[in-house]
Amino acid sequence: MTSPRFDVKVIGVGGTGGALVPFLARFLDAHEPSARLTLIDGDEFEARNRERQAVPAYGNKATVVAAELARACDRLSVRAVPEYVGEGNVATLVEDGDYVLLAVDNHPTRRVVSDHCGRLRDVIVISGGNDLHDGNVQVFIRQGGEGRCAPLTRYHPEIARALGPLPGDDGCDVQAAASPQLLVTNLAVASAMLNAFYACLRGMLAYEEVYFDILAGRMNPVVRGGTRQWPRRE
Amino acid sequence: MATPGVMSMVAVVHGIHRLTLPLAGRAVGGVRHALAPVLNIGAEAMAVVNGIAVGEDYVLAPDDHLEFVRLAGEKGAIFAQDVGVCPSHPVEERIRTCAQVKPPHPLSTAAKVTRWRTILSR
Repeated sequence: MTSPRFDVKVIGVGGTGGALVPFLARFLDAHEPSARLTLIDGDEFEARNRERQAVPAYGNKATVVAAELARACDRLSVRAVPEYVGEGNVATLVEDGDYVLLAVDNHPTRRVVSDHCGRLRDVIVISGGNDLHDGNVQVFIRQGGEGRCAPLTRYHPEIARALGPLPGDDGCDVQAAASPQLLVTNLAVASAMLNAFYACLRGMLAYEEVYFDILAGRMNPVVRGGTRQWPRRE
Repeated sequence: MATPGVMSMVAVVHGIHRLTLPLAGRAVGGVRHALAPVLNIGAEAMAVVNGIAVGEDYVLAPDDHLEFVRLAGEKGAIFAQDVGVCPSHPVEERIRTCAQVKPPHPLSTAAKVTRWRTILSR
């Protein structure tokens, strides 16, 4: 017997999202084939992406990667939304019942998604971010209209107050070009996001945020509101 | 029966760091000041006790869980934008430059900026 159909949405198919989705798709195809995987990103592959990402072809990242995954996964439904997430479309892209893996590289998008999900009844948001050698993964859960894990903004005023331009707005390309990142750190945050996703899916999540540092070789899970494990949604 | 030493313990967390120390009875501000150089706690790190944001004058109780919330990772942008690494340089050069000035311990973002600006201004 298979689980009920549910949607897994990956927002951002760049350094972290691009590292995450092949393994996420393989896992879903094998263990949750009734799931539907949606990749959301308005960005285009460029030559400079090759240092940290597989670039199967040039074009919209979500579209290109979704096509690759669809070929590799026999049973999983994969689709692409070639758009950046913003105030104007977040309500249509993120809906009740979704698992959202937020792999973006900017706090304004995290704020928009967190604020929107705070108004939903049932949603799980797993947000990863990194600097050069360290990073964190936050888990925001609403279940039955109640917050089970805090919104991304509650303990992070730098996200709550992130009112800068969203990707696709003027100015964001300059920021992206100026930001060095490491493939190995992207892999670390992608792996930590998948850990959290698996724990949520199996009702065994025991933390709300986890920090890591690839140079120190450490991960530290943090619980702020209690130590309950979150039940799987049926 | 609990021992007096155990009764006064408080868990302190900042990013990847986690310590258990006899801090009951002390104010959060004093703990921040004392541990800032050890755990690299920045002034911008929100203090949270048992899941609730508190002020610097909050007095810790036994078994409290104090976290100085480390800023969320964004994309390494702080290295390039705030210390002035030229975005037109090849990316490997930018990464190498940032790695060379990376301090041995992970710092809060504000502390990173201050430290790196100082280093790069020499």
